[in-house]
Amino acid sequence: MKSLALIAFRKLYKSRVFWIMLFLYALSMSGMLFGVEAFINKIASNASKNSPIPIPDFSLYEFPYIWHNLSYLAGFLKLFPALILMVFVAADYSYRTNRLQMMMGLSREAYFLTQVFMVLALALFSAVLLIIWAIVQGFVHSTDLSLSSIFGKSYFVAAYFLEVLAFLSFALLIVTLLRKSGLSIIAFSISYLAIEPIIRFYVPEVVAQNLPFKSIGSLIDVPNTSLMQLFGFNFRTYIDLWDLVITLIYTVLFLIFTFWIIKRRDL
Amino acid sequence: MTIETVLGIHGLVKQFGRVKAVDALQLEIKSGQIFGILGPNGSGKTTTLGMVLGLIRPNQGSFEWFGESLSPDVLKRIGSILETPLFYPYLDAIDNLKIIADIKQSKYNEVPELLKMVGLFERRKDAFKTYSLGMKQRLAIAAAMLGDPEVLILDEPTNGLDPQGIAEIRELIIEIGRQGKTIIMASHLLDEVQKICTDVAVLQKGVCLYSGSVSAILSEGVSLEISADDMDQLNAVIMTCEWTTLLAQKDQMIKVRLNKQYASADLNVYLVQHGVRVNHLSAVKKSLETHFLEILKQQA
Repeated sequence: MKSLALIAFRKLYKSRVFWIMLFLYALSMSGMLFGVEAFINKIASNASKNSPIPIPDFSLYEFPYIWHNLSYLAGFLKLFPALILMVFVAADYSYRTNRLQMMMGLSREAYFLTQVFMVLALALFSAVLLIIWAIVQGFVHSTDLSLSSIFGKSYFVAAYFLEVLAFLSFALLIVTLLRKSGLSIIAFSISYLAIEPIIRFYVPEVVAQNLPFKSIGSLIDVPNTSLMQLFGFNFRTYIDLWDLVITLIYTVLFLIFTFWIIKRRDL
Repeated sequence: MTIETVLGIHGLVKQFGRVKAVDALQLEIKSGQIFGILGPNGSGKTTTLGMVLGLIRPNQGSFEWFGESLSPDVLKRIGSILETPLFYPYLDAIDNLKIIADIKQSKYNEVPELLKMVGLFERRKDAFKTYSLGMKQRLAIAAAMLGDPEVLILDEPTNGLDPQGIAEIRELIIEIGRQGKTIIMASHLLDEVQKICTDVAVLQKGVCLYSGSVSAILSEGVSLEISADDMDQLNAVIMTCEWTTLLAQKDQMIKVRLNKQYASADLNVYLVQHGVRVNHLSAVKKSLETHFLEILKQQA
C-alpha cells in the first residue's frame, strides 16, 4: 500500500504542469472563498438602490453557517481537480508507462489503486483548502466563538469531500474509457454541462433527481442566507440521507466499472 | 542441474478482429538459452510477448512461467523491454527507475549500479526527454535488469539505433547472457539473431514455421559446389545418388544439397567409388538469412 502511494506520488512530483495546475486550482479556490462576500455585497448594494425594500448586508463568513456557504461555493470549482486527474491519468496511457509498469509486475489491481490514491489525494486537497479558508475567515468574521458554533456545521466539509470524490470517480471512469486527455475532458464536460441536463429535461422528475451529476450536486443545497430568504426561497440546511446514499452508490459504481475496464483491457 | 523449462507456450491464439495475430503457437524455452523469435514485421512476435507478460489476453491456449501460471510475483522474476522505451519524459533516470524498483520491490541502491552498467550514470539527473534514442534504449535495459531477474525479454532491442548503438546493445546482451540469464529476444534482423542467439523460432503470420537451435539450422542440409574433369559423368552419377538434391547446374559446376545425415566427405567417397574425378568440392555455408528465406518460401 505504502509503495503504491509512493509510486503515485513519484509520477507527479517533478511535473511542472502538475504543480502549476494545482497552484491555479488553489488560487482560484482561494479567490472565490475569500472574495465572494465582497462581490455579493456589491451586487446587493447596487440592487438595493433600485429596490423598494432594503436589502441587508450579510456575512457568509460567520460560524457555523460558513461551513455550508463555503462548501456550496467550492463545489462550483470541482471541474478543476477533475481536469488535473484526467490529464495525468491519460498521460499514463499516452506515455504507455502503465504498460511498462504492468509488465514489470504491477498488478492491474495495484494500478487501479494508484489511481484511486490520486482521486483521494485531490479530494482531500480540496477539502483541506476549504477547511483552511473556513477557519481563517470564520475566526476573522464571527462574534460567537464557542466550540459548538465553530464546529456546528463542519460536517458539510465531509459532504463536500464526498461530492468531489464522486465527481472525480466519474472523471476517472471517462478517462479510463477514452484514454486521451483532450477527448476525455470534452466528453466529461459535455456530459456534465449538457448531456445530463438535457436528459433531465426529458425524463420523469424522480429519475431526473437521481441522475449522477444532479445527485452529486444536490448533496449540498444552496445556503439559506438572509438574502435568499428575502426572495422567498427556503433551501435545505441539512444533508439529505438519500442524497448521501445515492452519491456513495454512484461513486462505488464508477470505481467498479473503472476497475473492470482496467482488468480486461489489452495494453 | 537439470535444464528446467522457463517458459512453455501451449497453443496460444490471439485474434484482432478478423486477423489471427498468433495462431496455435507452441514453444518451449529452457533455462540458459538465448532464444530468438524471428519473423517479419507483423508476424506476431510482440503480440506473443505481450500475452506471456499478461498485457494482452489470449483468445485460446495457455502458457506457464517456471511451471507456474502468470502472477505479479512471476513477473518480478522477468525483466522486459517491449518495442519503444516507455518512461515519464519529465522525470530523470533515477526517478524513472525508482518507480520500477517500487513495483519490483527491489532496493534503490541497485539503481546507480545499473546506470553505470548501461553507461548512463553521468546523465542520471537529466530528464528522460533529453536522451538520445540509444540512451533511452539503454535506460530500458537498466529497468529490465532491476531486481536481478532470471529471464530477460527483449523486443527489437536495437530498433532505430545507429551502428554504434547497435554494437553497444549487442555487447550488453551477450554480456548479460554470459551471466547465465535466460534471454528471449524478438527481432526481424536475421543477422542479429545469428550473432546473439543459441536457439530460434521462426514466426510468420502468427504461425511457428521452425523451432530449434541456431547451430542445427545452420548445419542442416549442407550445400556443395562440385566440378569434375568430366562434367557429363558427374551429372549422371549425381542423378543416381539418392541422398542428394540437384540445386543448380552450370557449365563447369553443379550445386547439390545433401540430406541431413550426410556430410561432404560422404559424397566425395561416393563419387570416387563411381569413378568420378572431382577437381573442386566446397561446402557453401549458408547464412541464417538464406535458411529463413527458404523456410518462408516452402510455406508460400
